[in-house]
Amino acid sequence: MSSDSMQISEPLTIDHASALADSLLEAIERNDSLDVDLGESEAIDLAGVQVLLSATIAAEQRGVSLRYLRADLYRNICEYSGLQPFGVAER
Amino acid sequence: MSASDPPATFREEAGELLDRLEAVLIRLEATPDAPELIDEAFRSLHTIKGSGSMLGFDELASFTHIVEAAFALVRDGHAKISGSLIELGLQARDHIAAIMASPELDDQTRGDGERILEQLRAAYPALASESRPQASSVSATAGPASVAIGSADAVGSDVATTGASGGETTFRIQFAPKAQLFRIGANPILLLKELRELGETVIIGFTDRLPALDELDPEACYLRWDILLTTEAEENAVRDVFIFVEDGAEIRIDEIDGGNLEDSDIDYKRIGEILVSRGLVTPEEIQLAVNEKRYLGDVLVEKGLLTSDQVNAALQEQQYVRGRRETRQRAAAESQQSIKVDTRKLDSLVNLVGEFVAEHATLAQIAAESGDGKLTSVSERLESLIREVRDVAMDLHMVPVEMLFSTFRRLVRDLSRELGKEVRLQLEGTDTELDKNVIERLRDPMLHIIRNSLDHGLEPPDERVRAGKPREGTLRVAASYSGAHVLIRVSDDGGGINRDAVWRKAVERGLLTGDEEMEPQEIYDLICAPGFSTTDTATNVSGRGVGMDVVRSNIEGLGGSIHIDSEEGHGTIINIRIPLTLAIVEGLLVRVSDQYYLVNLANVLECIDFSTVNRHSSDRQLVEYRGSLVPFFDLDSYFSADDGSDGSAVDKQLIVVSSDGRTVGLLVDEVYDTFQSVIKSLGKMYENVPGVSGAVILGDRRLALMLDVDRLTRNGVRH
Repeated sequence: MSSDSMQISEPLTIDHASALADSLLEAIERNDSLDVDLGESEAIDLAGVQVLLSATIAAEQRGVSLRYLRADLYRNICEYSGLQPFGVAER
Repeated sequence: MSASDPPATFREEAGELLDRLEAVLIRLEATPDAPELIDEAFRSLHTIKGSGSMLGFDELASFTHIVEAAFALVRDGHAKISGSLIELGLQARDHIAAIMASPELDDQTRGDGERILEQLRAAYPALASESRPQASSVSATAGPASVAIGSADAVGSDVATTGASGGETTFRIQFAPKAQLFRIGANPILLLKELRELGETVIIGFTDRLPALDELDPEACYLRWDILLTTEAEENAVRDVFIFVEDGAEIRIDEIDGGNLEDSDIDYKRIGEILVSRGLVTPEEIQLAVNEKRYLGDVLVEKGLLTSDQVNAALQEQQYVRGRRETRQRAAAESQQSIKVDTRKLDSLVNLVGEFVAEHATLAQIAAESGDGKLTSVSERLESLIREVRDVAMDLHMVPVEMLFSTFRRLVRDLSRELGKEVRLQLEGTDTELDKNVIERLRDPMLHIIRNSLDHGLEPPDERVRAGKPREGTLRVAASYSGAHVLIRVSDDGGGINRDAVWRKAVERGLLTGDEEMEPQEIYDLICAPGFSTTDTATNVSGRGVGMDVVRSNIEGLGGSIHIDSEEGHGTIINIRIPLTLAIVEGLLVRVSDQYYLVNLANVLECIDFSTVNRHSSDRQLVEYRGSLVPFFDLDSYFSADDGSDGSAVDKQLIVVSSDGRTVGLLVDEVYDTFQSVIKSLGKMYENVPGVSGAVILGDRRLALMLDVDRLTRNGVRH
């Protein structure tokens, strides 16, 4: 097992939710520590939020340490909609 | 202001809010890091927008919405306060006032508004997406399923934080979308945004239905929400927000506070009751859990009946409702201590009390003439009651001078910039109270004095530095009580008044021949003489064709006086003395020949039998009074334009009066009692008659004239 980092530059939206879920799940299964950089992504919706939150559940179940970096969009939409932005790395 | 006239009420309240906004912005300029000020600015704008929109002032509402959004950005930490925001905020304030003054906008005003918005948008790009506020027209299905939440876009710009008001209801909305919600194109973010626009919200999102990634259908909706919404809107309007997603979600809306559930108790439901009312557990389950005598939430979570998120949501609801109730009770307690009353009603009350006083004078006279002891005693009791009623009525009419002074801040700020000067305005004694009518009539003269001081008194910064003064000039406006008067002192540390220049100008203008010997004080008084102006070029600041002579006559019209003192190079002090109230005067009734006069008791020093007075050995127009010589004149000859012979003066009375530091004696034929009365104006025809300033009706319906003591003492000294 290894530690890895990945960058997501596609929009974190419903149109890309399926592909996003696949690549996150694959990366979680390959690593025991994973940093995901969201800083290049320019849009987010609640479908994208669900994938990111669901990934933290999958990671926790597998004992994988998952962190989201440069996650302002994710944090903002969570705050706006009363959700906890799980997985956001401490600034 | 009547209940049937909402626009008038709105204008009045919005006017007050705009005044408050202006004061807040000016303070914010000095202390930009004061979150409570930003919040207050936001709230003022928010309330203006809300009421304006409700009453159909659409243009006003949509303009204010964008200005408010700019302050929301700052309040929520998405943008910083800047000088330009304050400047634009002030301009926006003026623009809103202009819209209120005439809702049918002309092109110029509309252009001004657009320019302000353009500049705001340029300074805060996040505002670009702000347009007019929308009630419930944002379709939850029409928009794209994604919202680009860049920096501050949409977030928080509409979180209402209006105070507790009467018609507000708190709803608990349980919104649980079905899995297909995203697929039908609905975006819950837009629904939440609409709810936020309706009022104050607490939004609690739940992820308890969300599976791990390997079981996730990425296009299904697993999230759900509890929303607490406090709003003035009806339940139907709240329900309308969900109209397009009714088939795609389970929606339960319960009224939990306010409205029909108005509750005087601060305490809201217990946690168990909230959980039952949410339909999450049964009362029996609660009872079983309570029996364990541990914290209820822990037991329910342990038993697997609830998630900790659900317990937390109930706790949040409990705290929120309790907070709302506390706010509401505080507001109710405050409103019980004060109510708003139309000033016209107060005016008529004061006038009626005045009539009451005058009418009682008649009764008192009848009682005295009748020799009826019972009638006299009733009349006396009545008099003391009337005195009390009068005091209360007067008190209702008093407002702090803060009301007047606070408008100077904006004037000084704008004017000093226009003139390239640096000026610090210092306001003191702002809680001193004056009759509201006096304050209103004092406004123009005070503005003129302040303009003068900024324009002619305080020097430009460089000139001040050369003179060894701080760059920043100080303008001090202070109010204080002095007996039945209020003293207002306007002082600056500017260049002072050049006495020689005043003298030369007075000679040029033909006000003096050039041979007079004058005290410094008398020279300063020349500034208030009609037609006097010390600068030849009228600036657009103070040279508006109104001179200090108008200021003086305005202040004298209020029964007050103005007094200028100055030290060249060090500054000028202008003292204004104003009676506390205009309506009722306590005076000394005297007779001169066959005419009655009233002398304001506040001016009377003493009444002396003239036969006992020592007259000056050489100047027969002076008497000795308490160790000094005081000029006197016979009112009979003053008013009948006699030659002033005083042959029959021996059995007369001398009333020593003083105004503004000048003391004179007035000879009258007879002195009666004190008399309180309403002063009636003499009307246009007689307003310029020298020596009298009004009239009163006596108990026996005869007329007495009010002596203009200020004018008489000035004449007397010159005599």
